[in-house]
Amino acid sequence: MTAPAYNFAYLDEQTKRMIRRAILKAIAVPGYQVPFASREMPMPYGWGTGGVQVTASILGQKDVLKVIDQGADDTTNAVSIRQFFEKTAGVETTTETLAATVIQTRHRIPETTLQGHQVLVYQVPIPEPLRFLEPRETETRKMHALAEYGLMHVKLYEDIARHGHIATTYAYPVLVAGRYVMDPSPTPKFDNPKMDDCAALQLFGAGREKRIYAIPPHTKVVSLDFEDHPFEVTRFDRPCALCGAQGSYLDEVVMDDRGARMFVCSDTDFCESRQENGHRGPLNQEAAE
Amino acid sequence: MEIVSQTSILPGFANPVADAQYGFRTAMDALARPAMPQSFAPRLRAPLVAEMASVALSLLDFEVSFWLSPSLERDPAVGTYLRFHTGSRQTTTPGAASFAFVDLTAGDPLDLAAFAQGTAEYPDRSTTVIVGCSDFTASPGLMAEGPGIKGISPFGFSPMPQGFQSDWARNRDGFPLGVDLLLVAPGSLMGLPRSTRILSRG
Amino acid sequence: MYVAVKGGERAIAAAHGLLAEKRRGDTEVPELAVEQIDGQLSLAVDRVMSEGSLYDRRLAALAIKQARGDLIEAIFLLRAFRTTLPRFGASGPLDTGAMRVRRRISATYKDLPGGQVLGPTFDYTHRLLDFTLEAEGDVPPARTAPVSEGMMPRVADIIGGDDLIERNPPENPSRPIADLTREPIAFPADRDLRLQNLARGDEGFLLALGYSTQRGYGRTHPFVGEIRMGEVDVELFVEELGFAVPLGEITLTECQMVNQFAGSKTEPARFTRGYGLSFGHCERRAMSMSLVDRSLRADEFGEERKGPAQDEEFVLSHSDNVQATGFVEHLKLPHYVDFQAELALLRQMRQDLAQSTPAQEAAE
Repeated sequence: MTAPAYNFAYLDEQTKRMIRRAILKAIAVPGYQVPFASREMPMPYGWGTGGVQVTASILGQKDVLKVIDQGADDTTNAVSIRQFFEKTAGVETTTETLAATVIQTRHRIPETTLQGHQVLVYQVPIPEPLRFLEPRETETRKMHALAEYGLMHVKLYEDIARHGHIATTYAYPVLVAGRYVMDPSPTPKFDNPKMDDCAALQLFGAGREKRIYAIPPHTKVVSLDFEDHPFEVTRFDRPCALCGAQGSYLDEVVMDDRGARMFVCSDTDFCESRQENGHRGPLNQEAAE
Repeated sequence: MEIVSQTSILPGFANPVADAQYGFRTAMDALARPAMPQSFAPRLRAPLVAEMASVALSLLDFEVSFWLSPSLERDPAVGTYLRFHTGSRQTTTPGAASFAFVDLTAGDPLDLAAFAQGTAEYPDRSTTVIVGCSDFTASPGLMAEGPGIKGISPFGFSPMPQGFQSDWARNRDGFPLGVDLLLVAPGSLMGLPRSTRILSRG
Repeated sequence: MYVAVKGGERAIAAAHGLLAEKRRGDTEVPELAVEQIDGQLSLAVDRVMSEGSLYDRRLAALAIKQARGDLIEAIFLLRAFRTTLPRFGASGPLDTGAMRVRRRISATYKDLPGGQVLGPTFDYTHRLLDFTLEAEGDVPPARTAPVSEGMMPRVADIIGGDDLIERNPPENPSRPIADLTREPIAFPADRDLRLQNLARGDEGFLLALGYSTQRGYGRTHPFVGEIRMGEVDVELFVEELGFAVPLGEITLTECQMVNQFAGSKTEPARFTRGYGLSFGHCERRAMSMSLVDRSLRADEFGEERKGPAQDEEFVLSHSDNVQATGFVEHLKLPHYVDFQAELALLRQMRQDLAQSTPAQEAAE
């Protein structure tokens, strides 16, 4: 028995058309979650099936694909998804942010500023920003229809009352083009400002929840906040230990069992290209010679 | 039952996978960058202009329906071609169509309000209108603004129907309801989603 | 010097190699044949076909073998295969009244036309481990009664003959039947969509929900009108030919639950129905499904929704074990970016507190 031959990028053409129609609607109504008939993929729900279906539907033979998870090209799930597209679409892949035309991501936006010819595809676990306030789809749909987002502000303000801070550090809700409150997927709020006025098209795919949404290029994306408690990004009080970058998002690496820690860029391509250009961090001095 | 003579119908895409991806991707880029014509040169011989036919074959199938403007409907080859290649249902009610094809170059009217506008809970249940134009020369004094546009952008298409600006303003005011336009002209495709505002600079 | 972890690709390949080795097990022991799984673990095959939404015994058996007996993994394999198959059309309605019955029992009538047929059942077995199965041995042929040539009407039809049970809605060929694999679920859902969802739902989930209705979380006073299992013909109406073409037969288990009556001043009281259907011989799932189906009809009968089994959004959104296992298991994927964001906030909040209460800090 021979293995069945799959279509370019795995999905059959009818499925792609259905997803493509949803993508066009998503772009036309920024931040609105378009329902789509998500298919079972050969990888588990919750592992990027939404992102994979979106990528498979937009990908052409001339595209160059980059896949990251937690900012890194070498995390296991990123490797697995990249291999999937190498096998089923035969497209060129890269780890270089600027060389890619399509970037599929989980939990990060690259540090390098994205360009107009690029598309950023997010994997989304729970697309509904109101889901944890109201579990019912019938209710949240009404709230979006009426732009009734008071509940979200109440929740954020309760955080301030209890903790002195808005306690949401990732999947921090944003208002897109002044109309829809949107979940940016579990990216750290550090990345939220990159979504605003971004030159690249941003597409979001939630496979298990069967929703697609989008932010067109150069769209206003505002993180929800209050006059007396403005939105603040997470800041790191040290540079990357390897490349010395200030102001990039850092992973904490546990060095031993006595509390030693080092902090390195989560965006591996950003960190490596800085090191190639001679930048060095405090724990990487000997290698500079 | 309709009997279709295979020989009378022009062929569809030569490379169904790559050609459909090209048609879609151009439409996607066009909607993501409203008012900015994208170069679009599909190779397709069809009873309607190639640009329109390519968008149709890229996006239509048995799950959706389409409506034709009077001049396109008058030529039976157009409906037959689209039904045959896409399996899509043709409807005579514009408000029931997922896609509509309107040929402005033949003088057909563009009645935006007649199409499906979506509902407050499902604004995506609206008609996407593919509009045949002769060119995308910017009209003096007309600008477009909104998601996908950095700042403001010159805008125009010909022939522009009388009253289009006020019709479009009404379409925009209904946001998030409303219709989205994919305008085609020889060699290019331009998007006008419902989120775009058209401004006159007198 | 610190070197970032690399080699994800090699690690994945090595892990898959290990998996293949573990699946095979001790090479001194003969390998399991797909036919053995089909024949000797046939109820596992039935469940995988039901929840995998694909009637193919051989593929289901292969999936069970590949999944090392993990049935949810096998269901997932079958679903992922199914989604790539082209569709030729929908079969005509199956006539379970014409089933070639191998098992048929009713809890509502002691005797009825066609009789009670026990068939191959665990019922009334004493659950004692049978150590003779450790040794290979031939099983003596079972004694069966001759197949009755007479009628075996469905119990629901018998009760319906006296107009004592709600009538099934009339067939409406012009109304499309919902298909959740082609169209995302929108709420409120009609019964066709709910039944499709339940038919693919996780057996454990359906069982627990059905059980909860018996314990008062949405009670429906159920009686097993009938459970029947056997073979049914499948036909496809071919437009070009103008007639239905037989495609073959499939094994089904059907459960018709007879429930709490409903009526009003104008409408005479009648029993209500709960319906369960499954591929193969899956009695527990068909029964559970019929309990949940009936509970989900609460609005229809003006019943107050107070149990989880009556909550359509809750049930339909969480019944699918392929979705559920994916999302639960995705928690093992790296989350260090989000965790780092939480760590940073936690440290900052502790710092804020330490600065605002220096006296207390000093006292510690």
